[in-house]
Amino acid sequence: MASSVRFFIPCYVDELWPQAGRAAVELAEAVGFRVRVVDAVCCGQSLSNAGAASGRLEARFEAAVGGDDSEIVVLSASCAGHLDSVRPPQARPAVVEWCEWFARHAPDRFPKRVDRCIALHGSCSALRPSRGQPSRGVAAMRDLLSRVDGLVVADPEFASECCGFGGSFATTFPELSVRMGKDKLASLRDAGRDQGPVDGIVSSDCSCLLHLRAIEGVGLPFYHVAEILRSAA
Amino acid sequence: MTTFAQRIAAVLRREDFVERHVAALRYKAGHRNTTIESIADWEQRRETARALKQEVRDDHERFVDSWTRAAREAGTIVHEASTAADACGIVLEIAKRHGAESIAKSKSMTTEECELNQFLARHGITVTDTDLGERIVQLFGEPPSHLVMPAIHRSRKEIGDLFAREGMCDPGEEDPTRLTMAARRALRTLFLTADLGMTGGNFLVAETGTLVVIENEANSLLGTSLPDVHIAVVGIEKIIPRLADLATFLTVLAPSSTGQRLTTYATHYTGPQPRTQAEIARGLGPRELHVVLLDNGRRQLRGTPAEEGLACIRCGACLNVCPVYRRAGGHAYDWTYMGPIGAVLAPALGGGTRDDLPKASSLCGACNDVCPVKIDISGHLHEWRRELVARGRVRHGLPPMLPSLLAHKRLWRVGIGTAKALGPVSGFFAKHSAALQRWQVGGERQLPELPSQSFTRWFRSRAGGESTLRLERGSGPRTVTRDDPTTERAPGYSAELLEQLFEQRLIEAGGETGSSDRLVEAVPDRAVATEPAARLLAARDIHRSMAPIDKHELDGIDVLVATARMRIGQKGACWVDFSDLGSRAQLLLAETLVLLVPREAIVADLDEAYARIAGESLPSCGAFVTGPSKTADIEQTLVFGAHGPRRLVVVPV
Repeated sequence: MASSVRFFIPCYVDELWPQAGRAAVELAEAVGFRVRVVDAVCCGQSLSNAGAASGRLEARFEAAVGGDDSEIVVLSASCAGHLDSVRPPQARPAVVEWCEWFARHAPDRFPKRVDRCIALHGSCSALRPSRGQPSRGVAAMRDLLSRVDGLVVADPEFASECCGFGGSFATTFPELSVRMGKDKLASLRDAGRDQGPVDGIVSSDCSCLLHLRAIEGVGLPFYHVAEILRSAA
Repeated sequence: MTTFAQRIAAVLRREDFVERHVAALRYKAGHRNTTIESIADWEQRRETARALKQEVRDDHERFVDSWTRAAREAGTIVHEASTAADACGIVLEIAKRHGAESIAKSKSMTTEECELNQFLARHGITVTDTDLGERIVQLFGEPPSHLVMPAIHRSRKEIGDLFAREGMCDPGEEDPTRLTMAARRALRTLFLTADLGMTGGNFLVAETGTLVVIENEANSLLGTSLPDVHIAVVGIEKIIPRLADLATFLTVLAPSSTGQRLTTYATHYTGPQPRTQAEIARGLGPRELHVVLLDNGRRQLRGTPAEEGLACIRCGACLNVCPVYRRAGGHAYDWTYMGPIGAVLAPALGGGTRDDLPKASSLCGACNDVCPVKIDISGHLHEWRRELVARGRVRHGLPPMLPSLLAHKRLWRVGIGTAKALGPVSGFFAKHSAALQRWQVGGERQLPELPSQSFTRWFRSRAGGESTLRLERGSGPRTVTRDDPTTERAPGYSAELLEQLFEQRLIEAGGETGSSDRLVEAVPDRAVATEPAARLLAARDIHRSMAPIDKHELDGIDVLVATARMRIGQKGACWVDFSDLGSRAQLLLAETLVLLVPREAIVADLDEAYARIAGESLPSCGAFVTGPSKTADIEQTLVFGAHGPRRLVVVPV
């Protein structure tokens, strides 16, 4: 008997990184869940971070998820963090970041080997607690990736330094945002120094990845964690 | 006036600067991380520090009154300044009364805030900044670019050229040690002749009326010890409840600030220090201690997103980790208080001209991770953005249609559909949307391609046909090792372990230990001694001349032997009670300082040290001394003997 789970696929994942959503859904189904998708576009973060009124979007989100106590699995550490910061503590339904959710259900070992060296980019939301809430997912991300045979996860130097996306920050200070991105890419590229050359970059936030991928001359593929796990399934 | 966006864009074109600045701050932040790993109760201390600052904010006026009363009882002359202009006026009046023409001033952000140097200069009084970094920026004619490393934006070459222009060194000098010594020589003369010493203040202890000043170079102590008059300009938010609370604040401050365990000198001033018999015999008049309590808008921060910013202890840790500050440098903020904490205070204290600073952050939260008093810095920046946009003081800067598009799923789909229909976004929109233009930064960042099939379309297209992929469910999340510092208290130390710890920590701080069995090696024939030190030595049949009292006679002395009251094992520090000295200058002017400490007077940590100090009696002046005078103001290169002793030898006797 398939149990059911609700996914919230944030606006930019939906339109700009749909492959992460597809992989996340297929993996959930593979371990026996029936996936339902929440009918909301944006959690409000993109407006809120810029200082714009985001209450309308947050209300839409609540309306879309309300009346059902089953938790909402969010395919983005930063959207999950934003929802936590604007919702009352213990709000129902609870919000959980995808990696944290999937770590509870994923196989102990994935069936296929993935012989690659992947640099791990922990987004700021995945690394840090958000206003009193626990950090979102970098530990769960590591846990999940450690279940794939052959996969080497390399940590970059200065891992706690932001990649420079930051929502509206990216267009308010574009030169700075790109500079931060280039510095982040340099340390991600060098992350495999001890483990062999890095041949991809993985994160639990597609927003960071969209920004990093767009910066000229990178030459490495970028993946959401779900995509890597999907390739091991 | 320029905006932060314009200033940062200009800075980023100076590739050399950005590279050097980023590397310097990454190094500083790394040093902090290494140090706190060995502080077992770090997280508890941060929480305690936060709670103590909150306690004071919740009942602020009562704490101001308590401090003022206690300070006055101790003989401190307390002044209240509502505005920067008031503070300047008060200082000028004191300076005039003493006929002061030359002031030796140590690092103080409050006097920067008040633009005191410029004000006094207009009244014919020369203020010399004596902290090496401050002196460098003063000679450059620019403000500090960091809260604790004022000249971090300058290279050794730039500093060498500056000193050569000023006639302080030969042209082409770039060696940090020789440059530091050049500054030491020039400033020593100033210390010996200054009429008045000025400092800021790190803490005001309500319980005892004490002013605490933290420093590495000994320039504060020289400035407050050699002249007769000491004026401290201190923000009202610097008050803490009790003497014992300093154990927590000192434990968190230095590691956050410089990665040291304890700053070299933590001097506690409780009233003006009475003259010693020897000083009176030489006809020296009484000392004066003035504290100017500065408000300058601080009381009005209550209820604003800047309120918690009053807890800041100015360690600079948030600057060191901030990815924006690392690349911008302090001058890009164009305001006294730079970096993330500066941006929190700016809209409230910046007179309406710094409202763009809360945007100068990606809200990454690195600042919150390191703040020793746990200020929610990025949270307050976010609050400011919402408040400033709501009040119309800044614009959110998003495309005008975006809020509506995101609120209506259908509108959103139509919008995206249109964009796709018009071909790659890099066409019409890319050229005509300001936001997309900014995203591309002249071609440095590409626009994303819109995948032909969105997630939603794919999900719907499956129409119930689920994936046939099958995986075995696992046993759940695994325990993931985290790097969280342990929260256990330090274990009880055996006497032997405590000795070892003290020695190790003193060496870390650049000091040396001597053996009482070979005491004579530590105190060569040419050494001179303070009275209590001479007595201790005489009891061991070592006879040394009495140290002079006068600053001019002390200047250039090679080895001076003095006494300390106790050692602190965890910090490698000694507590010196200044009433044991014939004059304060005795601690500061010799090339090598030897401190004799009773062997059994050793405590584990600062908590025990303060309990002991409170149990005896708090001297009018006392300091924790941790290693020799030092600085790293020129490209983070550590140099001993910035202003005070180059060597410190501690001998348990």
